[in-house]
This record gives sequence, C-alpha cells and structure tokens, in this order.
Amino acid sequence: MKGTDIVVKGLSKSYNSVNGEESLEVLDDIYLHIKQGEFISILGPSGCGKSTLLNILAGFESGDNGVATCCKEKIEGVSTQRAVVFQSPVLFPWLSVRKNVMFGLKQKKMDDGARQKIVDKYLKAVGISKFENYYPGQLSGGMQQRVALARVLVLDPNILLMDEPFAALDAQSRLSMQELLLNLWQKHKPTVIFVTHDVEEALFLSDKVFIMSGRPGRIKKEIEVTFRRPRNISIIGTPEFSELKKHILSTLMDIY
Amino acid sequence: MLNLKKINLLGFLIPAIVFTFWYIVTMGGMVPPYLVPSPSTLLLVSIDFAIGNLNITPYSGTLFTHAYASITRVLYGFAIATVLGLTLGFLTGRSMLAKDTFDPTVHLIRIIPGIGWLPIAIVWFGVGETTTLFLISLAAFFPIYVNAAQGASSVSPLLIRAGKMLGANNISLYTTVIIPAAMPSTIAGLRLGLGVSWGFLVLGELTGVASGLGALMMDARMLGHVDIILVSMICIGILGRVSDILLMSSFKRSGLLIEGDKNEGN
Repeated sequence: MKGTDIVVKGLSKSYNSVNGEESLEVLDDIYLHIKQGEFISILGPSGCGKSTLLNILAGFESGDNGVATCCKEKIEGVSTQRAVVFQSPVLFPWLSVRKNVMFGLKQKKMDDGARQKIVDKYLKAVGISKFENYYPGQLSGGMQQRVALARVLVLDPNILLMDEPFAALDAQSRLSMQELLLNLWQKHKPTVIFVTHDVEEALFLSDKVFIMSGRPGRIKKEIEVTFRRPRNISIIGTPEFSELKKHILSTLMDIY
Repeated sequence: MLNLKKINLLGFLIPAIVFTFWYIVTMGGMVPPYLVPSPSTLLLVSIDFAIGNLNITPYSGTLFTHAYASITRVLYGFAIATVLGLTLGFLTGRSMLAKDTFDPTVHLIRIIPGIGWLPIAIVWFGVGETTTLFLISLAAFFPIYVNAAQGASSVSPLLIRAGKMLGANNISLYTTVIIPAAMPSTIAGLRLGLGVSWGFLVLGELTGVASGLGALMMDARMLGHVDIILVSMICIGILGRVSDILLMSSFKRSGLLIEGDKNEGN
C-alpha cells in the first residue's frame, strides 16, 4: 500500500494526578516522519514517554496538542493496520496458541479454510507450529512473544508497533527474536516502530534511530543507520558498529 | 489400584473414628434408636427408600420422586439467579453508570439475611412452591452477581487493548475477551450460588410443600422417623456435591475453565 507514512507534528501529552492538581508532562513537541517500510527505533531512558508515544500511534491514547497521522489520516482509535506487540506478550490465557493466533482472523468475515491456512503459515514462520495446541501459560517468555508476533502478522498489518518486546527475554532468546523479526520484516516490509532502551538492539535492527530525552520526552536526535542488509549478529563486533554505539551513548549521556 | 497413591489415607481417619463410635454406641443400646439409628438400620432404610423392596418405612421407594422435586426446584431457582446475576453483574462490572445505579441498592438488599425473607415471602407467595423458588433465586443471586461484577471489572486493560487492536468490536470484545477473562471469578460465584441454592431449597421446603427432600425431613420428624431425616440429609449432601462437580466439568468441557492455569498474560 502506498503512502502509509506516519507523520507526527508538535505532539504533546500530559497526565493529571489523581486529585487533578498537578500534571506530569510526558511528551513535548514531538516531530516524526517515518516512511513506509522503514524500520525505525525510538531509543530513550525509562520514563521518557516512548511507550506513551507508541500508545498514541496505536490509537490507545490521544495526544493533548499536535497531531499524529497515518496514511494522511488522523489517528483516532485502534486499527488492525497498526499492530502492537506489547512488552509482555498479553496473550489470551484461555485460548490455545493456535486460537490466539487465529483471534484477529476470527473477527473478520472469511472462509475458515483460508483462516487455517494463514494461521499455519505464520505459526511456521515464527517457529511455534509444534506448540500450537498448548496454552500460553505453558510456554516460556520467548515462545509467548513469538505467539504475540504471529498473532498480529496474520492480519498483514502495514505498521508494526513494538514496545520493548524483547526486554524481558534472556540474551539468547532476544538475539534469535531479533533475527526472526528482521527476517519477517524483510519478507513483508511493514513499517516497524520499535521502542527500546537497548542501544545495540536499536542499531542492529533499524534504518534510523530516534533518540529521546528524559521527561518530558523530546526527540533529541535522529541517526541514520546504514549497515548493509541483510544483517546478522556479526556486525555487532565491527568498528563501525562500536563507533556508532559510542556516539549514541554519548548523546544519551549529554541529555542528562 | 491406579490412584491409590494419590489418596491421602489421613482424610479417612476422622470418618472412621466417628463411624466406629457410632456403631459401638448404637449396638450397645447406649443411645436409643429413636435418636440415632444404627449404621446397619440406616443402610437398610436407605436401600428401601430408594427401591422400595422392604417396606420398612412409610417412605419406601419414594426417593426419586422427592429428589426429582428438589432437583427441579434448585435448577429453576439457580437458573433465575444465574440469568439475573450474570447480566447485572457484567453490566455493573463494565459500566460506571450501571454500577452507580444498581450497586448500592443491590448491596443494601444483600445485607438482609436470606432467612429473613421467609416470613414476607410466605405472606406474598403463600406456603410452598413459589416461596421456595423465590428464596433460592434471591439467595443465589448475590454471590453470582458480586463475583461476576468483580471478574468483569478486573479484566486486565492490556487484554482489552490487545482485543481491540486485533479487530474486536464492542460486542465481540465482550464475548471474546471480557467474558472469558472474567470466567475464573464468575465460576467461583456460580459455585457459591449453587451451594446456597441447596441451602435455601431446604429452607423453602421445610415450610411445607408436598414433595421434596426438605419436606420429607419435616414429615419424618413428625412421624418419629429419624432414620429418614438422616437419609434425606445425606441425599442433599450428595446431590449438592454432584451438582457442583457437574457444573465444574461442564465449564471445563466448554473450554472456559483451564485446569491448572495461572491466568497470566499481562
């Protein structure tokens, strides 16, 4: 689909305290332009509002000022075209893995045979076919996150919003999830907005990294990442990678 | 033999002691049979009560008539309580407006003990069938309502976001996310409600209906048949337990209750 750029202009957001007397500024004057099919990361310290920004892009929340648009339309409410992978898997514990992946397709009117075929395809793509008849509670965190990924991919979304999806995983599962994500992205080319506080993760995955300041969150810097694709973990050891990592880390330090 | 290791023999200790004690005191004539019949008498009376082969009491062979009457009343009363309790519970659990409207009144009424409704129920509905149904559905309503509301209101907001993001509309969000997520608490309420139903069945039947285990107990008391009173009590206990098992297994079969599930996912 053409023209599914995401444009954010002058977006800000505050939360009021319970008694309404104080207000906490979370996002301040955010500008973003993300082209269709780009893989970008939003990097920033905890509490800088990056999750809030993602929630606004998903349509779960709305900003106070400014505007967030997708495909030239203002983002209002959720859409299956903007899929979200949360920090925790948030699977439906009463459904088997297969039925979890099926959930989105069940909301649509379509032939059941076609549904089953799509589900099979993505269960295989994320490597969980063997576990399709288990409940999420019986799987490890990494496996659950694969299910969460398959669950949104079946809907063939234009945009994938990911909120520190691998933060809770051990180093090994994290690495294999990152490679899996890159493979899937290369095949389907959705726009990916990936929120993380891990510099290496952001560099390894993205075309572009947006660095946010601490609260209230602002976009401090935009860094192009030009490593050749397809990438694999061997780039993490290269001098160019280390150089860029150092640069980003010092930018992050400057912010404080 | 297969499950022998799973059964903890310790659980049988107290029943065994009670049974032995019961056997000894009734055998030796320390307790007269019109207060406590011996275990063997009770066994004979139960068999006769069920199949009517001995004709040793006026109640020979009437077990199924009475049990059927009682089960029917419980089913109707519990069904009414379930329909009202779940509907109102899910409504107040998800809507602040509904909660502010209904919740205070419901809890005000809930404070009045169920037994306290008996006199007014007799005045309104007369002695018998309707009063029994009224008492059962009234008493069973509250645990069902409270637990359904609690379950519905505590569904993780993240699960709701996930459901919406995957394309669930307002109606399917209820059927595919909110109701299943609220199930553990809702089922707890239904089980409590069913238990209460049996309790209030007996209360209603004691006041005088033609058939039913509660009515039978009262009748047997007047004729001095303590054995029938005890057998009726045992029957109610067994029926209550069986109905609970059936309720649980129907939920398990329908896939709404996952065995050994930790209900995580957020």
